[in-house]
Amino acid sequence: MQELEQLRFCAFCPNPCRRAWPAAEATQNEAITSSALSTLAMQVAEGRVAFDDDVRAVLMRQDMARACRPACPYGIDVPALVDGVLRNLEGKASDAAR
Amino acid sequence: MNAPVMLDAQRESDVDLSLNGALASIVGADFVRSGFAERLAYARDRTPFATFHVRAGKLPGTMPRSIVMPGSHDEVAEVVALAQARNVPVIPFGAGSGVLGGALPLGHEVMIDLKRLNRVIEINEIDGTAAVDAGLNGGQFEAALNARGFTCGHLPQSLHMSTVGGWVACRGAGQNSTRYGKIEDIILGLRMVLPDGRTLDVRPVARRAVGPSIRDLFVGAEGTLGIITSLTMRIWRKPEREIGTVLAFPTLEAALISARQIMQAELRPAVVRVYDAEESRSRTEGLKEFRDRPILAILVFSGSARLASVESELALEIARQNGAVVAPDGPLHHWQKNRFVSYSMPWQTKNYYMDTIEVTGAWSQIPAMYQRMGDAVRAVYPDIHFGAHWSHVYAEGACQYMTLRLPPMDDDKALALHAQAWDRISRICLELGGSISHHHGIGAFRNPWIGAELNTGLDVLQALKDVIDPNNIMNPGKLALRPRPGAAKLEPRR
Repeated sequence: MQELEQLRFCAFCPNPCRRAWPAAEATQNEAITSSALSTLAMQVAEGRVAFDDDVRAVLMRQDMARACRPACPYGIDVPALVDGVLRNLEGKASDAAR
Repeated sequence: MNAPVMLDAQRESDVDLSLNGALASIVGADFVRSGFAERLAYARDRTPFATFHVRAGKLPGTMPRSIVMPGSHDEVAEVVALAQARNVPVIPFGAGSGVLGGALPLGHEVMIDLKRLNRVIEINEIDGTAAVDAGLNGGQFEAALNARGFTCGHLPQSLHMSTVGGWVACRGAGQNSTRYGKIEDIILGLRMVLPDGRTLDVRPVARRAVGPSIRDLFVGAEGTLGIITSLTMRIWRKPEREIGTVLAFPTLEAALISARQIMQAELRPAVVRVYDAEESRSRTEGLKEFRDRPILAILVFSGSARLASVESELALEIARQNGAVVAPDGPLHHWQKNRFVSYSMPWQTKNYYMDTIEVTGAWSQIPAMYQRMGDAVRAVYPDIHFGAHWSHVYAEGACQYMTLRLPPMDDDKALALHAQAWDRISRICLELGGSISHHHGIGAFRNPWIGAELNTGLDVLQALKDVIDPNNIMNPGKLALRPRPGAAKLEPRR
């Protein structure tokens, strides 16, 4: 699967990997689940959500997605995919600033 | 009405500083979130209708006002009391795995995320009970029980993507429900916060005869009558043995008759799954047993080795009398491997319109139900995919679980066809005396048919809601109960 297609796949997946995130973690926030990050990354990559500091801050909160990566039944590396989207967006932002 | 576009919602994003400050004084500032990107994650659940919107950059309902994450029962009570005092609607949120919009904001509600309430409070091996917080992940709960040699027996497809409180709030059923019962058979007691902030305790006992069951008022209420914060569940020793068998039947009728006879013979299978020809085909490719017998069935018996063996043999006798032969275990292993994941992503990713509908029918009506529903949706769109299986069976009837799939097309056209398919199936179900939901619940998407399903029972439900939640702050507009003024509608566009 291409990178965007993998993000879309994860965005529409209901997070079976979430069981790998320990109950003892202080943060239990839906917005940082793998599927939520993939959805947000997909939306900004497709231009359906504007890329701003708020969006960037959420996309960079990847601790849960990293913890859940081994539990993905499909072997999708969400942090790597989100980083790819971030790099692309930051690159575009920096080009626009020149 | 056109669905709101995410970009517009982002531009118009507004923060209620006064409310957020008050919420933060209860739970701490770290546990109140109000940024657009975080709220967006709570503007959806796993309702296919919502997915169709999300992938088009639209909101299925509205943006939530704020997210609050209480860490104790008392904090939930304080949050609800605050919401009541300010007349702010709220929605309890577990893991958001519902498929009918029960947790979707329709009127800028505050989402109360319960996942910080996630302890296993006590496992009582003598009584066979486990007390847990409502926000505990289902898979983590089952793993904690397994580590002690127990199981809850409630093993839904959403096991790892749902919470224990969510199972109860949505009146769910697990894949082993034929042996262990549905969630209403498993829950013994609960603690909850009522819409005015008061606590209600239903103490866990094996049974009581003290009037109507207060507990059952809240099992399936989907957060409209209060917020469950902890529960006590029945648990069972893990079975000594599981015996799974794959069967090939000559006809669907023969397989359904066998399922009925197995239940009416008072056997207690853990799993009974009968697939129609459409769903059998992909699961049995290359297996010679299915050349002349195209219908797949899977049986699993469990418990003590001797009992499971005897029950399995008795069930096989019934199946053989109806023309079945035993086939290789491949389809069983495939189901076991995939039983806790969703099948929809490859289709949703490619812009198909996939949905599932589960209904309950009496054995005498199921053949007509299957035929008429299939005919009806093919009349809506001849090339629609329609497949069905029956995986929760009773002495009296079964759950018919159907998969519908429209190919990629114009969004408005697809949503209209999707709505027509839902409407026709729901109407046929009611005509044939069935129930329009076996275990997915109502949410908001099933609102149009609840009056016909419950008749004056809906008036009783509304009267109860009006008394305990007069300001209508608890998950308003769900279960076909009265919405708040100006709320969005999450209903099929017929």
